[in-house]
Amino acid sequence: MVGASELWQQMRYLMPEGLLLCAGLVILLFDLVVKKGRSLYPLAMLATAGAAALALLPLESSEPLFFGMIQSDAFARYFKVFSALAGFLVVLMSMDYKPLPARFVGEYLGILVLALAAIMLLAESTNLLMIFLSLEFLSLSSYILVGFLRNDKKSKEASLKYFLFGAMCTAVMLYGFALLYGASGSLDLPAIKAAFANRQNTPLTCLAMLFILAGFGFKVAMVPFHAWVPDAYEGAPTPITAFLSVGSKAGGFAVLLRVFFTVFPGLDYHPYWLAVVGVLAVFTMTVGNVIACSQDNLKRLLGYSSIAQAGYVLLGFVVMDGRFTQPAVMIYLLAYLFMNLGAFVVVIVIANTTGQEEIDDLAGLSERSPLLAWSMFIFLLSLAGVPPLGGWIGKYYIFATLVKGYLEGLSGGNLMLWFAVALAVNSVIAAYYYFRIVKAMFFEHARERMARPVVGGPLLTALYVSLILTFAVGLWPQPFLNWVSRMALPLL
Amino acid sequence: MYLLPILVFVPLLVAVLLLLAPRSTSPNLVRMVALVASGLIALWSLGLPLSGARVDYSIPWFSAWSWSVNFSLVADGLSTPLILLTTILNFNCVLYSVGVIRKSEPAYYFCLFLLEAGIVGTFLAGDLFVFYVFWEMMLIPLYFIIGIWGSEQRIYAAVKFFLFTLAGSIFMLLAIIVLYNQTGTFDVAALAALAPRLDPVTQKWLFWGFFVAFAIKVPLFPLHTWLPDAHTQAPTAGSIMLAGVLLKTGAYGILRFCIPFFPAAAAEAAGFINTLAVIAIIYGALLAFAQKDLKRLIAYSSVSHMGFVILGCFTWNVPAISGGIMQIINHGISTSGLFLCAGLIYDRTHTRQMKELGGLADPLGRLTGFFAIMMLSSAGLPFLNGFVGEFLVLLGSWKNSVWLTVFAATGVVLGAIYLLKMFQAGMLGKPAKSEYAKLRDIGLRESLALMLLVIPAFWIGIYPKPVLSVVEREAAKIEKTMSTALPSGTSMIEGRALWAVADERDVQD
Amino acid sequence: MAEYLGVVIFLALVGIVAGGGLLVSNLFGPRNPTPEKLIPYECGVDPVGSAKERHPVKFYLVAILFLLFDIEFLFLVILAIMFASPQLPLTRGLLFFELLAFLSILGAGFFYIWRKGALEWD
Repeated sequence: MVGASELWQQMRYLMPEGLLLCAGLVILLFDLVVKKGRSLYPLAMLATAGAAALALLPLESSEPLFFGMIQSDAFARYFKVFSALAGFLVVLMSMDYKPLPARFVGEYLGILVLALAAIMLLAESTNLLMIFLSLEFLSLSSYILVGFLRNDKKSKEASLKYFLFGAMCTAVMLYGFALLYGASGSLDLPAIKAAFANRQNTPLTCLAMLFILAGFGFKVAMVPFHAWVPDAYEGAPTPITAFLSVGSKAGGFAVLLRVFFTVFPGLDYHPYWLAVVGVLAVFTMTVGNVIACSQDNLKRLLGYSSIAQAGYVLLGFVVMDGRFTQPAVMIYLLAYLFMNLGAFVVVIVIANTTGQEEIDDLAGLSERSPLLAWSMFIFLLSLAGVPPLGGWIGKYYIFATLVKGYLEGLSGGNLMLWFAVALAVNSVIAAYYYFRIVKAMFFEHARERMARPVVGGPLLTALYVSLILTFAVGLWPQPFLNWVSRMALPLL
Repeated sequence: MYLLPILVFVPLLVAVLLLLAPRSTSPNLVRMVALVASGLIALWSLGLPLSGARVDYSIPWFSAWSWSVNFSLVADGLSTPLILLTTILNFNCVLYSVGVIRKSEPAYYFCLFLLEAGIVGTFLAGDLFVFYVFWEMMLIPLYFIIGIWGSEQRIYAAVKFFLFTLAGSIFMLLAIIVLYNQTGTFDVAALAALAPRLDPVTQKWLFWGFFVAFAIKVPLFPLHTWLPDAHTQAPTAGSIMLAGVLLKTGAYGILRFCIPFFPAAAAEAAGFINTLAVIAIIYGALLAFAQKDLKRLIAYSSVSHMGFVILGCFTWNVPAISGGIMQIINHGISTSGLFLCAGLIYDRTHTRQMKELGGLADPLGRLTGFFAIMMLSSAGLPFLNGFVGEFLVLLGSWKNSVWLTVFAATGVVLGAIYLLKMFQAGMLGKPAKSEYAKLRDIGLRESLALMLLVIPAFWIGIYPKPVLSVVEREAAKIEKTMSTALPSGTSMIEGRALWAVADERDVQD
Repeated sequence: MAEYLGVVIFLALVGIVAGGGLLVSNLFGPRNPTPEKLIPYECGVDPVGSAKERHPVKFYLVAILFLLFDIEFLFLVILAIMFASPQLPLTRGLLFFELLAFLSILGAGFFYIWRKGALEWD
């Protein structure tokens, strides 16, 4: 029998998300009392910063906690830090986001903070039920946040599309969970692993794997579950777009890593996995990149770009070798966090200035605001994977993982080299549309009556933090690499 | 010991300082800083030949999961002349630009210094990873230089330039990663020993992965189409750096990586590549002949002249290789001189169309003199630098293949024709417009910029020994690599047949 | 799969009995419709207006809130049953405090909707 003291001991590992959950409730309740939404920003910032600090404490346990529902290991801690950091930056970005109705700021912040806690829970769940619950927790909060601009038709449409798509994918995923339960007789990931140890792949497990991939693929914006992305990204309040593109995507990748590294290695399933995920990843990045070329709306463009980026990360999964896949995926996500959030900061400033988010609104930005133009340029370069920036380190490790998989003669190795070639070709396509933005900023002249963008303190802070860390990951990657390799799942 | 890092990081530092300079900084201060900094960097680079045949510097950069990268820089006989060329040309560009550029100057000099850092880093890199970083780094500033300060079609040219080179380099990245995983090191010196031992098929793939990236940069026919656009649209300084050193990074890469790492694959490909080089020589010359635009003509002459470089690099005897390297240096001097002259003419007449020029010899006496010297040096007149390289390449190539040499030699003749035609159309004859009579001749600053190129042109032409001895040493190294990789007594052009023999021998074993 | 055969047979029988009754009464039952018989049955009172009228959206809010709290109270039933169970995986004191925590979060939610005015009709 588990006593209070023992449970209390286990609670230590849940401090970051506990703090966020409490903060979320407190913000919601405070909102009733104070009525002044803006005064809640410091509270949300404090909560996210505090959660990041708590997550940085070396409190890890490889033991299953709370009756096997949760495993708060280093891997989970990595994503806790990640999500708290992303949350902090998103809160900063929201402070100066004009279209956000001041009346509802309390609700907005409360739900945002709860969504961050959901990502943390998602990253540490080791039970199918718990995974489902936290995934739904994250999804439901996201639906509300996407539709938060209730007087904006696009926002409402985005929310509805996101919801319908999400419900569909979640249902399919749930079916996959059911099949997995049927095949193994347990909901606990370690127990499922034990049940599968050295067993042949059966159609049932294959089907379960595919269905589960649908649910997680929806979260990370994998083709063919990407259709919600452009509309949701365009309609959502821009800070929420930024949050979706890094936070909820990272959550999806975390759970993808955990489930697929825990459950399936026991099975002899590698060839299927390689073909399915590799081809999906190539489709994901190609579709994202090709369609992004014809986008004129910045948020849509970054939306398609984030689909493509998900494709790059997914390629890391193809190898499915514990030594390489996880660090590659994790370092890529880290670099992606800063560069993508940074790009969205610039989009927010532009939207605040001109009221819309078209590429044309960036015309002549280098003359109107050199700081913004050069920062955006750095973020885009990093997204395009140009050295020596963060995105390049990420892309390098994805490449290296594929090559390693190829050379170590994993089955279907030749395919991996082709995947690497596909990644290379896609990088060139991506450079084309990222440089369309650069072209607008530096080579074109501002239209008449285009105001000089004003960057307030919070946005400036977010901009600088993203900028410095984008550079840091690229120029001095050692500490980040060390950290990531320490935080990888000890699974294979 | 800090000789090399300073050479890379000081330009970087100056660049960042210029970018962060407050808006209120006076343009004069910016120009002064740029001028002094680039001059000092050029002087500092003179320390390279003075401090021995080989200088190196290395610190660990990062390592994780069995990949480790050292930040290592090496200067040897191959890179030292090219670095000198880079720093001097950069000073030259700044010297020219302070009088011309008036649009967002801090950003302009930022780009120039970033470009310098990138190119110097590329030549210095002693680690493939570092090489790649610098290789990509030099793309960005040139993209901006063309795109912001270029002429009418600049955006198209900038994007084309960027996408072409990026497409090439991303496959080189793939090749670098494969190479690392096969050998366990990024170190260039170690790879030169390890890489040739890889199996022939891998070598072949890796060779092409590297070669395509370099061939785009050189540029080798048929990958040259970005060059005329980029050159024509770039501002003068951009053209100078592009023709003077950026193209050389491609040739440098071939000599530094492609050939020493994959001698067998290089031998196999040599016949094909040499044919392409000769096609480039003749094709470039013919197209240059047909151009009406001054800068476009010089751009196509680059395609032709760089063909000689490739021909020299892929003909493995000492005269040809040293001729190839000499041609790299000479083309850097002559063509940037030509572009500088073309820029100075354009600044005065505001046209690059040769039919709208003419009769400039009268008002622009000094410029005409310099232009003539540069033109003759490019045409390969004896006692000027261009002659040395082309002569050696043809000499070496003769031993290899008579037919290729004969065709390549027609390039020299054609070169003389189109260059003389250019000079005649531009400077001699009747003025196309009456107001040309009132043009102002070049002043002290511009003369100084040109003198910086004329002096080495004469020096190499009359007394090439100091440069040639260094270059020959490098050429001998490459020749030795090739001759140890392949059994002696075989001409390189028969490399293909040789592999067949080797395969049979393996079978017998 | 053989052990499920009984279930399948059972399901088939259920279908036959239920469907058969309807089918038979539909086929053989007398039919004598009058206008009075065809109007909707509303406890013997004549219906007023159409049944397809618009309801205030507030009904849905109330219904949703009711459902939420209803389901959450369902958990209390399970906890209450478990409280006496000998296989309880944790101590009873702990369970009691967990219950309290659960209820207080529930209470906070209740407070929230109350203050937001979700329970007021106008």
